Amino acid sequence: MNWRSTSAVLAVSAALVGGSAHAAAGDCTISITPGSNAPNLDKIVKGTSGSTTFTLPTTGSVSQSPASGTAGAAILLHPGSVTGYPLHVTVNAGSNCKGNNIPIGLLILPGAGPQFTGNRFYVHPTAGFANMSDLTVTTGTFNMSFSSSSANATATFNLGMDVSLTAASGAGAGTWTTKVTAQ
Amino acid sequence: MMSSITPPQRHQPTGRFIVIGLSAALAAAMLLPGLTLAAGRKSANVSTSATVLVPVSVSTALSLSSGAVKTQGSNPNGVVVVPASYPAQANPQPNFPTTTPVNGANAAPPNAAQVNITGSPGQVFTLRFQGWTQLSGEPGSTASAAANTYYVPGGSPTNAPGGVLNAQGRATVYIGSTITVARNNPGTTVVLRPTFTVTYN
Repeated sequence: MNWRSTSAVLAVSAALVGGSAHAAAGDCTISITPGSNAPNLDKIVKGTSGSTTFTLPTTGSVSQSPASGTAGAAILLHPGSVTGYPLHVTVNAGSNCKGNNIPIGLLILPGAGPQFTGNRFYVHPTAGFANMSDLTVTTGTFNMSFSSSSANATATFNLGMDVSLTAASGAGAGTWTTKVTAQ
Repeated sequence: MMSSITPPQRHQPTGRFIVIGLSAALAAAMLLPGLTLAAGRKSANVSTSATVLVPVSVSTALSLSSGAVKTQGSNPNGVVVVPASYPAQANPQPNFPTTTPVNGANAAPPNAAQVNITGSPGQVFTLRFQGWTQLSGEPGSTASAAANTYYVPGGSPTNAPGGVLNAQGRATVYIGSTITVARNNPGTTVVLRPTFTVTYN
């Protein structure tokens, strides 16, 4: 080998790195759109004991457990004023994650103010899934399969969730973030 | 072996240098799948908001009182009208249509009921009145919920019970009413406790 050969090897390496950048551009993309206005649960009177869980379903109205009026339970003051649910999630396969068993991660991240927590999600496929059955996801991850194997296939689902608030939480303006990931 | 390599001169590339360069290229190629996976992880976030309020706490600091009164003439009942703002405000004064206030050592003026409320600062609340319960005085005396009036300091007496919690999360509501006092010849003081709920709007 000589110096020219060395240059050829480096050129091959550069080409491979360039290939990597090109692949990243074809990865899955995720977008979330609130159902109507910005997601907002309006006012909640926190409970006096234990924890109260609010279910934001993929269809229908918000419910809570224990029920409003139960001793110690929190109260969702205006269930009819809840906005932004269900969330609409769109997954685009790009050219890299098309096909089957695409891991979708679901996560609730606490935000500012009173701490809302949750790890139960409700997935209602609306288009593009190989299996259009509803799912209840408690592990924070589920695998989806596109109905189409073509690049840039798109699947959409409505996303609901359970969020809990304890009596020990603070008061005031509270937020949480719903994070959806695809790989 | 590697430690014995002598860096080649710029214009005199050696076979060893070529081996090192090729190894680096292969290592980069082997890393590519990992790099692709990491770069392929996409995510999206959406933020949800809510306003969390502390539970409302209420207490009745004062019950409604007719004051010490005697029924006029031979009437079986007498009436005392207690404004919601009395005695928090001097006027309007209580009215005694068919009763006479007791004077002297046994004199006792009427007063409206006082309800203290605590909750989240700045929140609007509504008081829902449910009834009067007689605590003392001549049995059979009553008050008319339909005649209730409400007063929140800083506002005006009103028939619409409600208000706004202040910056400390406190509010006071006074409740007046028209009391029907059952006859008692020496006179009597009727005291009635309000029953109610308070909710955020």
